[in-house]
Amino acid sequence: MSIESKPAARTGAPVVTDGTAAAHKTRVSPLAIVVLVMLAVFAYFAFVFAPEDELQGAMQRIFYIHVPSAWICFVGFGVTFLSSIAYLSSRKEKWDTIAASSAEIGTLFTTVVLATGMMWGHAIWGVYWTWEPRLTSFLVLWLMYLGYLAVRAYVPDPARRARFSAVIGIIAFIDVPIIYLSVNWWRTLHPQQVIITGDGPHMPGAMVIALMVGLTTFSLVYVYLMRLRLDVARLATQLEEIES
Amino acid sequence: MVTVPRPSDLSLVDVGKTFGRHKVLRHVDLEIPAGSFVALMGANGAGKTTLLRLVAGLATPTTGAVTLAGVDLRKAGPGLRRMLGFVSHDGLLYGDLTGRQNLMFHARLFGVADPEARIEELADVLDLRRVLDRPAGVLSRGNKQRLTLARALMHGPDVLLLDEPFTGLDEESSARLVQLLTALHAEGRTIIMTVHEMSRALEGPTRLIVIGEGGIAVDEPIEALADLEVDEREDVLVGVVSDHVSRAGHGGRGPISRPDLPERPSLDEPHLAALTARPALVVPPGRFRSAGMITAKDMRVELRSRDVLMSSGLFAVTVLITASFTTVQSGNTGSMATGILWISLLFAVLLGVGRSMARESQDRAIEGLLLSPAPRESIFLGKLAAGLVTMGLIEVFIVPMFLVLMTGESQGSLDVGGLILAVVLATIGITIVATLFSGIAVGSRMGESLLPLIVMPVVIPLMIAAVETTRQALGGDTAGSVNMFQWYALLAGFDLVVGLAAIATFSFVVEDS
Amino acid sequence: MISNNINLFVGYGLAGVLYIGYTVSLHVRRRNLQAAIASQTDLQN
Repeated sequence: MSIESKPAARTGAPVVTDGTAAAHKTRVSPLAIVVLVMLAVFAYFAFVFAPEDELQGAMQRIFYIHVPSAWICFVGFGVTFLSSIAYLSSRKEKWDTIAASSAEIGTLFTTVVLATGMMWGHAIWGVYWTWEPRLTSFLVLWLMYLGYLAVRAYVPDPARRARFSAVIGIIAFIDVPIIYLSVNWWRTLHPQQVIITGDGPHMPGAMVIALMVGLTTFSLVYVYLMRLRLDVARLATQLEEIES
Repeated sequence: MVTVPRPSDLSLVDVGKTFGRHKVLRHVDLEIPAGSFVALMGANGAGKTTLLRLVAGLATPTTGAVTLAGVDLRKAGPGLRRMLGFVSHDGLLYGDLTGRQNLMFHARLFGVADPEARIEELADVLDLRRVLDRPAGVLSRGNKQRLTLARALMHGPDVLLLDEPFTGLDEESSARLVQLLTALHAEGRTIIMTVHEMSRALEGPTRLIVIGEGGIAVDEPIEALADLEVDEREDVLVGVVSDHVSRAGHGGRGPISRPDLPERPSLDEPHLAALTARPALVVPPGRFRSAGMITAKDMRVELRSRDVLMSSGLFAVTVLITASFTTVQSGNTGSMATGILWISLLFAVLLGVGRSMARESQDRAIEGLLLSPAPRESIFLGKLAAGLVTMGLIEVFIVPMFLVLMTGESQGSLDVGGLILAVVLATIGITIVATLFSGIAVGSRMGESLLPLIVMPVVIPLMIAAVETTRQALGGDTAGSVNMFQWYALLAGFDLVVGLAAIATFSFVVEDS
Repeated sequence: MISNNINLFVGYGLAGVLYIGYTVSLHVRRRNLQAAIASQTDLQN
């Protein structure tokens, strides 16, 4: 786990030696630089390299951020699911921290999916919201993980909080395919006139490449945010231990 | 120790317990051989209760292990749990049930062969006759304490744990309790009790353990203390026990003599013998029978209080009636009406299940279940079945009422079988999620009101499927490529998958609560 | 289709605000925690 091992060595030690302002400065991590470079590359591929879509025009370019965000959101909740199981079987606090961090970041990605999806819907369908199956599924997903985060906020005891949220993390993830199925069937009962385009099989090669670049970039963003979030969690624990 | 542990030898090896960042106990090593009578003292918050809860198996140690008869309590099976009896600070009783019903419930869960006779025995010795048929919730502190004692002694435990058992007892009852504990000790039972006053530690116990600063500060035979002058005795306790504790008890100078047991309330021999004798036990009920007992208990509580039937049932009725003013008028029945039906049923489940779990946390009654030999999943299954029975009673009224009020004359053919199947499958699914999450909601700072927030997103697939199947059972159009079989399969699939996950995870919700 | 570019701009803008906002908030939280730990250890020395 590259996410786990590094931050411990990076920030903890210098603080103890002297309390001056200089000691607080954190060096820019190599990963941060890679992420910044990738974001620039991504911008090039999304806005310049990929051709304009014949039907949707420029608006189609929202997919290069929308679709990768959606994929990463599943990765995030998947990590929460697996870490929740790992926590319940091992009772090691680190699994709870990973589960919570990943759920928080997954919720962030879901929010982006919803925001960009709504903007696309407004441009193409003329409405911000429509009960399109995938968008609807993400809305339900978003609500579920808000519940997860709410439980974390309302249970003060760490061990109990970890057990409770692990149970929700497991049930919520199991529910994802069922949600998708139900929402999808529900919409076929009330057919939409607009057919989803953009990521079908006829997508030009250049678009596929841009999408792949987006996926790589946002995977790195996820890893970067996870490291940062775990770092914050570790420092919070450290502070609590000093104070107690 | 190379010797084979005797059946009720207790040992704690390097036991630590942390709450959050607060280390209550650390590196506690204790050997308590079978037949010990231990008084446990320590300042408030020193960890006495935590230690007892660890030994009772209600809390799991953060580090180390507690073993009874050489078996780790975490892996305790029904047999091992029957060896323990716990008199907690809370009664672990259901306030809506009478004393007798509470005792009967525990006796059955523990597999006592002849519960009626055993209850009579205990009622005699503990002087419970007058209060046995009153609801436990209205009893005075002292009466409740004696009822709690009866509950803990019901199955004749080898190890009796008591958390401040003298609280709320008058002189006479206290003297009786001392006599009772001494008799149990003489029978070879292990007794561990926390006490607040030094004088109590001198009435019976043979060993004093004082907890201070997260560890064992004093561990001495009582005789060693009794021989000391009062001043010296206080030296032993100074800095370890709060002033409050060390000053309590005998104020005078001179060697302490064991306080004379008052002669008045002495128990006659046959009574005591009946009590200290072990009741005949049968094989404890299995998974499903335990679950059935818990369901029956829940239904008995509900019949007495009727608060779920009233709140959930009336809620659903009110929603339907209010909604019919808005939908029937505009002629918009169909999906809208079935949607309203399911919204009202969903909230009825949330209200009812939330209430039922809140009852379990009142007086920590659920810990009585956790102490019993019943498998953990039977608690879930029992609560689930009780929720379903209650909802069934409500739905028997609500669904026909919905048909009359909301569907109007437009209905073609009513598919009764399909309607019942839809209602049953969807109610099961919603109740599964609500039962599992109600433990979480009740354990949070927000309480039951957190329940809708975490349950509703998860049951959205059920709501969609329930509305579709109900609508078509009522003769709605069958447009769309998704056939009814798929919707019923989705309902059943949800119930199965989430149900299994809930059974697997429920113990994590209720443990250590 | 007229508002295409504006929607694209707003879409990326919202995503950017969310991602950057969250990243900045984590950095701020980390810096505050480090400062708090530093002052605590100073007190103890």
